[in-house]
Amino acid sequence: MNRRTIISFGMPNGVVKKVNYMRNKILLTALVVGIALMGLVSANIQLDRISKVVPASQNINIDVKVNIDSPVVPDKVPVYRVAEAIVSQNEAISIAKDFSFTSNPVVITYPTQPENKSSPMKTKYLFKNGNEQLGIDASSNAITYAKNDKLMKPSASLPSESEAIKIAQEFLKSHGVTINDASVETETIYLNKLNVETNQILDKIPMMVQVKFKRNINGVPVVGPGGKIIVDIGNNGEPIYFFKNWRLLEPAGTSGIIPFSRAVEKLSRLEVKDVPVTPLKSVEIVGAKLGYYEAESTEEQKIYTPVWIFDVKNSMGTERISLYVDALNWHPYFYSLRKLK
Amino acid sequence: MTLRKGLSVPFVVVLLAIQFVLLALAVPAASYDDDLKTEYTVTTMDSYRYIGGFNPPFGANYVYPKTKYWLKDQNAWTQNFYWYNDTVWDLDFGKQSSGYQGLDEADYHIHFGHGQQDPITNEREVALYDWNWGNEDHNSLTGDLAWDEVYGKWDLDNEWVFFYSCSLFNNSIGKWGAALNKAHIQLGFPTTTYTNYGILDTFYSQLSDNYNTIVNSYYTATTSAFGSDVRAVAVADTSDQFYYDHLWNKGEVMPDESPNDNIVWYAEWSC
Repeated sequence: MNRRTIISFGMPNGVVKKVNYMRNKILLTALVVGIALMGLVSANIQLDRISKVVPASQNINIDVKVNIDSPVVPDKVPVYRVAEAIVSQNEAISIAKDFSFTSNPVVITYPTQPENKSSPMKTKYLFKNGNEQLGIDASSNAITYAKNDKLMKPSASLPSESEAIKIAQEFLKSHGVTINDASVETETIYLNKLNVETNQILDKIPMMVQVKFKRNINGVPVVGPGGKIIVDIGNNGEPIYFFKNWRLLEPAGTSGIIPFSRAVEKLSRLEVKDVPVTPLKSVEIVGAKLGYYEAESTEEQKIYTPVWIFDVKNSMGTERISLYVDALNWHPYFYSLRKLK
Repeated sequence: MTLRKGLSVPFVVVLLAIQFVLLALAVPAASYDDDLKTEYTVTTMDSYRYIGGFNPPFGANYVYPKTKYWLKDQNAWTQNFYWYNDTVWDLDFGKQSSGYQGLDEADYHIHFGHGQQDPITNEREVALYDWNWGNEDHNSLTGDLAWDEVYGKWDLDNEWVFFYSCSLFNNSIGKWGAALNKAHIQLGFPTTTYTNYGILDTFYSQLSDNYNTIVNSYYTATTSAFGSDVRAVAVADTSDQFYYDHLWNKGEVMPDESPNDNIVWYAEWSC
């Protein structure tokens, strides 16, 4: 006996049809209401997601504790102008030949602010030869060369860090890159096998030795994303990665700089070159000196500006943070206009 | 024995075998996208109720538009959601095991916003809109995201997550890495990091124009974007994913790990 038989028991055939019709209608209605309710719940989630934040200029004030004596600095410091222009495609092809790339590049152009219709465009030249790539940023003449099948891969035989420095220097020499004033850092990079329950490292697989040359100008450090050359050495001492963001400079006179006290004021308003992605409530200055800031490789930098380099301790943790405050007492634009004497 | 109109069993078997071979050739041998759709999600924080944010906005002006430009406009990926400021919920980070799973319903997620140590729990966490130096409500949708909320949770569609936040992985690589149940790779920082206008262009261009691996692209992007005081980290669920994972349609993608073995593989470096 099925369900239909039970409902139809003792009823005329027309009534059975009506009952079935009514039942289907109820089921259909329930289904529609159910879907509508689910839709409403979903819609409510969407409605709740309308931002109630009114964008307003936020005044950031950080409590800055100065725990050092005011550094003794010269009244005026040299200013440098970047001597290179935007790299043309022919110039890029010429650079690529030094790395044995003979084909024409893929020219990649992209907007720096995609949602802004008048956004400036940037250009990169990308040369490929199997697993080897060479990229040149037109804005800065920064070069990235990599053997991608060997980068970040296990290496059975890595040189020592001191050997890696020599290999890196030879590599630079062979490509006509001269470094006059730089400090050197090395780091062996491993792939670590970690048990997440015990937090124990179970294995360390060596991959490459990173050799980094950090730029100085007459002993004054260059900070920021630029002012460095990296050469990574892989298996059997093979150079597998090279990155150079080291702009060619020419003197552009001298400039006065803002005093330490004014730089601290700017720091307290977080008027810094690169903003840290961590909240700062109060910081303690544990070091301060002058340096130069070199911008990232995608940026067309005209002037090498002096900066106050602050080494600060974040009160909310144990980490030290480097913050850079513009030290130039002129707007850099005026230096870009000055003629070289 | 025949089936219909003279179709013999051996003939059908041969047809099925050919179909199988064709399918095997068509589907990448290494892995497949869980839902066969290339999807991304974005969350950015420029404003907070109690702590300083980013003015002008960095997440809304750069992180989101650049991600959209490179993934959607250039590579035809689908955007599942973009939430910002007070509309970012902890649920968006895939902390639920059923129902809405946030980032775990898409292949790639990027989050930009403050990361720091909670002064009360001493754990590294993602600050959401109502974060307040540890005094926020941990159960609120907009308070914080801690590692234990996503422990073992990413087991659906997600492959790659980029946390553009400070020091989330500081002494916490295993804790955050444990979220990688079937997801593949986390990218982030064990130290302070900074706003940078070029990193995402370099990263996405390496992935999509240069067909480079996720980890190689991240290494190239971070070393070109930051000074050497910043350290970057890539955490993978398997060593093969670390070495060989590419963006979908840009090279091979290694299989999801199954069963989950509670092991992650990571490398960190100075930028």
